[in-house]
Amino acid sequence: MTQVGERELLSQIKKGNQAALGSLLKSQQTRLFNICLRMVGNRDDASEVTQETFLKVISNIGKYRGEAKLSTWMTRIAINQSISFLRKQQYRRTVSLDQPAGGSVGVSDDQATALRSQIADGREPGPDLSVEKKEMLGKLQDAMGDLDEEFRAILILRDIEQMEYKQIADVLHLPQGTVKSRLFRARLALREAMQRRCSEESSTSGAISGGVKQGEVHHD
Amino acid sequence: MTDRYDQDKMLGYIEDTLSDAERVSFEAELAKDDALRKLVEGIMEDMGLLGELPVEKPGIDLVEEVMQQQERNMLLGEPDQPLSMDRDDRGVVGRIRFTKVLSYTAAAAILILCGGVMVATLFDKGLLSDLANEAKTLTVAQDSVENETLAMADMAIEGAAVAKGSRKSLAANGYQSAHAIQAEAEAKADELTKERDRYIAENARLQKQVQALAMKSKSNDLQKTFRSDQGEKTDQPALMAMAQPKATTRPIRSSGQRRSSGLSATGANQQLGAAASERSQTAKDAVRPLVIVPTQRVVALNVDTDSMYATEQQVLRWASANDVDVYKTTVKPERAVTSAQISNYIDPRKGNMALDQERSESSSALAEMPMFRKNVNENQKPTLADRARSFAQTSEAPQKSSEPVKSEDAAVFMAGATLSNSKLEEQPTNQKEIVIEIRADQLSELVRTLKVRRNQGIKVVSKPITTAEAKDINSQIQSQLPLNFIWIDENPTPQINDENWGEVMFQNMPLVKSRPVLRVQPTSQIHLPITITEEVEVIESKE
Repeated sequence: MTQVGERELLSQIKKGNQAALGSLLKSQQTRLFNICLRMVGNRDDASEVTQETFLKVISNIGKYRGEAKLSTWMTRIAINQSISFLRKQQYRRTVSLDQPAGGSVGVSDDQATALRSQIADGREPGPDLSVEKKEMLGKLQDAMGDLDEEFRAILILRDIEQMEYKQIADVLHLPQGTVKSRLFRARLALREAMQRRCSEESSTSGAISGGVKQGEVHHD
Repeated sequence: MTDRYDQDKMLGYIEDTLSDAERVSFEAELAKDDALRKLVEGIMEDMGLLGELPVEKPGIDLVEEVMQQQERNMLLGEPDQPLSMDRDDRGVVGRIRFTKVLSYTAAAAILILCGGVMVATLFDKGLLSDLANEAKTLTVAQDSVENETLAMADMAIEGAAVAKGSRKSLAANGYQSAHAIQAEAEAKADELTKERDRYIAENARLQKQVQALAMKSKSNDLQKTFRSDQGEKTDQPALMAMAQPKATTRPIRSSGQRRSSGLSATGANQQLGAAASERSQTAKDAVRPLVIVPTQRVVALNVDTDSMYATEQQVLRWASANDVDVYKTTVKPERAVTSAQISNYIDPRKGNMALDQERSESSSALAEMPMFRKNVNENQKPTLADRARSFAQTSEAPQKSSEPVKSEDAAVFMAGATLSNSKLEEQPTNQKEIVIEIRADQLSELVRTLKVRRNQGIKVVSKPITTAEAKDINSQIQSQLPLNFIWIDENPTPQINDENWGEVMFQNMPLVKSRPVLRVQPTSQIHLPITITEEVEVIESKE
C-alpha cells in the first residue's frame, strides 16, 4: 500500500467508512494471521489473536497518528496481542490444578508440539518441498516454540516479515542497538534449540533401532 | 560459547552488512575456527528456513467475523465500538446522540401537539368542559358533605353534653353518636369518590370514542373518495350507519350526583356523528380524480443520516451474502429535476399523475412537492401550468450522465443506494453512493432487506434492459414490493423498442393507497433514479 493510498484509506476510515476499514483489515489479514500463528503456534489461537488484533485496531485507529506505517502499527498490535495471549496461557497453565507443575522446558515442549502439529494440520506443503526440507521446517517450528516470545517475535519480524531494523525497533518499541543484540541472541537461541531438537531426534531414532548404534550418537 | 566471538561482526556477516574488508577478515576467522564456521552456517541455514516457512491462510474470514461482532456491539449499544476512542470520533458519537435526542424531542413535541389539538377539539365541542365542571362540582359536594357531617357530629357532642349534665355519660353517648355520624359521612365520602372515579373512566372512554369516530370518519371519507374515483356511487346512509352505532354503543348513565354528563356525552356523540355525515356529504358532492402526491418525508435505507456505516454495512452484508460485487463507492451530488419531468407531472395524458390545470385546490398540495415549492405564491395562486413553466425556466439542465458501468449480463441491474434527504432543492453534500451489481430478481429483495426510514433516500440506478425483462420485473415488484411505482417519462414520444422498458416496467402499475410511492424517471442512458417517499396523500379537487 502506498503512502498516499494509506492516507486516503485512513481518512476514509476516520470518516466512518466501514468498507474502507474492511478493506484495510482484509489487506492485512493473512500477514497478521501468519505473524500470530508463528507467535502462538496454533491455528485456532492464531485466529483468535488475529481477531483481537483487528478489534484493537478498530478501537484505536482514531489514535493512530501516522508516525509509523499503518502496517507496522498493526504488526505491533498483533505482536503485543500474541505475547499477551501467550502470557495469559502460561499463567493459566501454571495455576491449573489439573496439570502437574512443570518447568519451562515442559511448557516449551508443549508449545512446540502444538506448533508443529497444528501448523502441519492446517498446511499442505507444496509438492516441490523435499521430504528433508519438510522435516527441517518441522524441526524449525518446534524450535521456534522453544524460544521466549521476545526472541520469537524478533525472528518473525526479521526473517519472515523481512523488516528493517528500524521497523522492528518501531514495532517492538526498542532502540535499534537493542534490536541488533536481541536478534543476535535470538538467532543463537534458535540454533541451540535446533541442535537440541536434532540431537533428541537422533537419540530417539537410536533408541528405536536398538542399542546397536547407540555408541554412534554424538552429543555436542 | 559465543562470548569469545565479536557479536557485531558475526551479526554483520550474517546480515550481510559488513564492509568488504570486514567481511574478508571475518571469513579468515571462519576458516580458522571450525566451531564458529559451523555456528554461522547453522544460523544462516535457520534464517533460510524461516524465510521458507509457508504462508498460511486463515480458515475463516476473520475480518467478516470481526465486522459482524462490531455491528452487533454497535446495534446493542455495547462498548468496544469502532472509532469511539478518538476525540474526533467522540464528536461523531456526540452528534449521533444529539440527533437521537433531537428526534426523541421532536417526537415528544409532536405527541404533545397532537394531544393538545385533541383536547382543544374536545373543549370546542364542550364535552371536556362539561366533564371538568362536573368533576369540580362533585369534589365541592364531597367536601361540603364531609364538612357538614363533621360539624353535625360536633354539634351532637355539644348537645349531648348540655342535655345530660353529666360530663362522663355525656362524653360516652356523645362520642358514640358522633362516631356513628362520622362513619356515615365516611361511607358517603367513599361513595362520592367512587362516583368521581367512574366519571374519570367515563371521560377516558369518551375520548377514545371520539378518536375512533374521527378516524372512522376519515377512513370513510378516503374509501368514498377512492370508490368515487373508480366511478362508484358513495353510499351515504351506509356511511352514517357505520358512524352512528359506534357513537351510541356506550350510552352514558347519569346517577344522583351526575347532573349533565349523559346529556353532554350524547351531545358530543351527536356532534361527531353530524361532523362525520357532513364530511361524507362534502366528499359525495365532490367527485374528484385521485391525485397522488408524495410527501416531503422521505424514507430511506437504514439508520439516521449521520450514521452511514450501518446502511453501507447492511448493503455490503447483503451483497456479501448474495455473492454480489460492490465495486464502486463515490460521493455524488443530488440530481436536478428536469423541466421534462415537471411537464410530465402535469401531463393530463399520464394516467397516474393526471392533473387538470384548472384545479386550483390541489395547488397547495403540489406546492408541498419539492419541485413546486420554489414558485408558490399563496396570494396570486398561479395555475399549475404557470408554475411548471416558471420552474422549468429556473430549473437546471438535465442531469449529467453518470459514469457508465459495465455489465456482462443483460439482466444485471446496477443498483445504487444513495443516502440523502432527497430534498432536491437543498442539494445535500454528504451523499454516498454504493454501486452494486445485482440481478434483476435481486432488486426487490435488496429493497426489502434495507430497513427504510425517514430522512433518507434510496436510489436505484439501472442499466437499460429488454422489454421482456422489464415485464418480468414488473410482475415481480407488483407481487413483492410494498411500494407504488409512478412512471415519469422524460421522453414524450416513447420509442417502441427496448428502450421503453422503464415505461413497460413501471407505468400503469396498480396503486395501493397504503403503500409508499416510488417516482421513477429515466434520466441518462444508464441511470434510473427511484426516489422512495413515505406516504401517499390523497388530494381531492373539483372536476
